[in-house]
Amino acid sequence: MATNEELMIVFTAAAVAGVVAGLLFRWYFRRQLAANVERGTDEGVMA
Amino acid sequence: MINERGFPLTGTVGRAIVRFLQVLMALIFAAGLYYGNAGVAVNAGIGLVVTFLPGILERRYDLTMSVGIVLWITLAMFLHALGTLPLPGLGFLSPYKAVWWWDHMTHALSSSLVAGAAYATTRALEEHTEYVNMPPKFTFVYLLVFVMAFGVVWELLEFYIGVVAGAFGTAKVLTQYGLDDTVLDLVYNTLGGLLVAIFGTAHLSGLSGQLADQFGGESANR
Repeated sequence: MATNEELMIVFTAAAVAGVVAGLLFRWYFRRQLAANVERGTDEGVMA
Repeated sequence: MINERGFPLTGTVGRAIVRFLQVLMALIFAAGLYYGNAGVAVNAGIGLVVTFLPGILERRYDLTMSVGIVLWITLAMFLHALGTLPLPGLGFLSPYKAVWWWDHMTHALSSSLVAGAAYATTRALEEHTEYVNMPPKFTFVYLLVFVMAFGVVWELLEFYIGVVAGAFGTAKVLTQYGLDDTVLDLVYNTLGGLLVAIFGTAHLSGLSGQLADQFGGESANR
């Protein structure tokens, strides 16, 4: 039988993984946008 | 009495109820301070500050919320603050401890606020830029996932406040009552989000339109 503490550990791991995934997503798309700007394409220049 | 936005009260009556609830929250805050109950004082104090946000947003950013939405925010904050206050009619237990459905009700109400804010912001982004387009079914799922994720963050906040309070021997401002309670909280959060996902378009389109105008203004000023 799981306990509340165990659920909170799972939630904490999921929250940390979510933040890391978000930062990676942001890093990747910023890198892609910079590459697009260098190539002169206008894809996603809004960000 | 149904006003032009479909809420069952007029502006004057709604504003009077909001002021009345704010006064009650100030009294709860004062009672918390007087009796040295940090949980009561902090929850009522933060809730009271949140009820003034619609007025601040209107003055600073020209973002006018309907009386119904302001009342919705104030009622959610008031019921949460009242829930922490030990009451004589409940054997000096707080409604959160003595009334089994109080926690579920406040979770559903608060999560509907979170979903409402998420919906209005998303719609505003959609109206503001052609690069964002969310079909209704996607918006529905997005709102539900957003509310569920926010519910998890809230549960983590409650848990770690308890851990820190235990480590330092201070009073808990927020409390968890166990696994069953946590899971039920998440279920009622989802219910609140579900209601907004279904009925959001009817009452929040005015607010999202104003937000989109604000985004437009900010873009133009860059």
